[in-house]
Amino acid sequence: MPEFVTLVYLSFTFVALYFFSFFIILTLKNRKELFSYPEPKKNYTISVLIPAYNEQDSIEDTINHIMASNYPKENLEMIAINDGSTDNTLKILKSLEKRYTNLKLINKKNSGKADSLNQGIELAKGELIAVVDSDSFPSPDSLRKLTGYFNDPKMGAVTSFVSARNQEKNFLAKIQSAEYLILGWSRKLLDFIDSVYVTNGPLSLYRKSFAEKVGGFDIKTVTEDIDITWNMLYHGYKTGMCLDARVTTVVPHRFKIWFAQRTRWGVGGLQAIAKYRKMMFRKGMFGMFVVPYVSFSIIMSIVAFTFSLYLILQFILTRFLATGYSIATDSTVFRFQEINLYPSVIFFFMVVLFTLSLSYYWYVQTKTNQYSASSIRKFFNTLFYILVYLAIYPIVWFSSIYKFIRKDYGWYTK
Amino acid sequence: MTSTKSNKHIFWQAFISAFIIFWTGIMLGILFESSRADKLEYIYFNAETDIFDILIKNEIISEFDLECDIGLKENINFADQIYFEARELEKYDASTQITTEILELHKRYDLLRVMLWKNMIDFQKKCPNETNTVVYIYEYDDPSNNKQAVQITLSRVLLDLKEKYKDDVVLIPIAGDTNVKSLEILKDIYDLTETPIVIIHQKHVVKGLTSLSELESYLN
Repeated sequence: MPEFVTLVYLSFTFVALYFFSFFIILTLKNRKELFSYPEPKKNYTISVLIPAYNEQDSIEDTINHIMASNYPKENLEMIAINDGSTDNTLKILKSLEKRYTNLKLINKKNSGKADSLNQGIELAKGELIAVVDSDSFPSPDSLRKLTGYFNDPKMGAVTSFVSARNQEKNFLAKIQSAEYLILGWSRKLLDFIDSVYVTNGPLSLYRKSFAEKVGGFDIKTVTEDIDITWNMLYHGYKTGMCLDARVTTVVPHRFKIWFAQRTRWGVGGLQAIAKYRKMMFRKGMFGMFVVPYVSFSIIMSIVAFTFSLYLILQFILTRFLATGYSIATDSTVFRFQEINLYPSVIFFFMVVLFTLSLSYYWYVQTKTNQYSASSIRKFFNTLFYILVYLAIYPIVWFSSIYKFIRKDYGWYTK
Repeated sequence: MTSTKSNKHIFWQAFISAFIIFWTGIMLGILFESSRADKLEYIYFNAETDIFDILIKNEIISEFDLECDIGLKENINFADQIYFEARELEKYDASTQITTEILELHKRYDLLRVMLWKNMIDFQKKCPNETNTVVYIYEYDDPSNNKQAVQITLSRVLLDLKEKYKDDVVLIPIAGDTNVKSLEILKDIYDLTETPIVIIHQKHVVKGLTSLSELESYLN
């Protein structure tokens, strides 16, 4: 009988192989339809909501990008919501309001993004609501590509493919660029099983009537985009994703801001799980897959990290003590013969999984044609993403869990 | 967009796929570990033949009152041989995760080393000589972090000793918790109740951490 540690490793290996097979089979089965999208049967009227809090650096560019959309202007309404900004955001919006006749402005006290969006929905006249973060920049054809999904009368929300606008800024931005690529790709694959569980902030479309039926955006959650998506699924509406509808967004390039953002996302995920926990293993893809999948991913990530950390710390502690004792007894501190070069079966499994992941990521990168960086840098970024970024990411979960337990959400109004 | 219907089998298809890859890996792993065990088994078989040869040789030397030098060198060489084989065995052992063949082999090697120790005791009685028998009994099965650190250090100290005194030291490391009955008797005889422990000439017992200079002070 293998040892406990080996059994844990083998269990993780099996789970990893399962999800790897899951995504590979989904890719193979749907490879011809990854980038396709339904043509809209009618020209839907769209109200684009742009909530803004202290976005003086990007808001004008965001609105200009939406204005440059090839979607018929007569069917496009824009509503910018200034959420009590303390910088020049309001001033910029007022000047833009004069320039663009179909831009409406809501100026309100700071009450959070969800509340801003709800006020926007109240004013909106479109059949569809587009939400665009004020630091995001949709491509000209993205709105048109997203609307076709609403030919399906059950479709409630459709999201786009986000990439990092400032990916060349620094290493952290580059790694997030690799991450966004994988997130977008896997989200598209989940679309094929009706399980898109996040309609992202940079660009997503909602059917206004459904958004109203589910009560709009929940002001008590810190990630209103996750919440409304789960709410739509809970009410039996469909969610979708268009890989060819592109939007770029500014990703944090400072560690502190990145960590705060990810902690907030984590808290939002935990809030969603807590809110819809009773749906776990209930009927439908939402209960049978989405809720368990998200919960299981978090648990697996935390357990794997804790277990690995425990083993690494044990190893370091033993070697540290042995070095101290060797110095104290005046013996050789290290011998090359002590290094064990005989690989174990688990090691082989890890190599296989790593090689498969790297190849798959490479395939995704090639298909989406994301990077402008050179191949070697691309390879290094991917390598770092798989080996380091993903390995230490669970630290964010610890921070999120801590804040979630303490109810330290702190993002309602900022 | 493909409908969910055409993807509804994805869950069990992924399971079957993962299951096949996983079990192929496990089977290859078993084959891999077994081939390592076979290799060690072959080395062990030779070592076993050697020790029987040495035991009989020692009997003959004693029986026919022959020169002790004839047997001494071979005892030392054999001890060195199984010491270095044992070091490799430990590494194989650490890399073995699925099968238990190497664990069984470990116990047999320990038995071989107990035989060597007993042979050295007998040989010393029949042919008193200046060679130092240094037996190191350690904990094999899941020692605590601190004990593991002490054992790593002791291994380094003993290897320093062996490198310094070469053929003047016969080093015999034995796992003390693999349930070798003959070792249990020897432990009772010399009152060895804890691990790790170093015994020199069956007279000097050093418990826990020790230094090269302390061990040197007990040598002939």
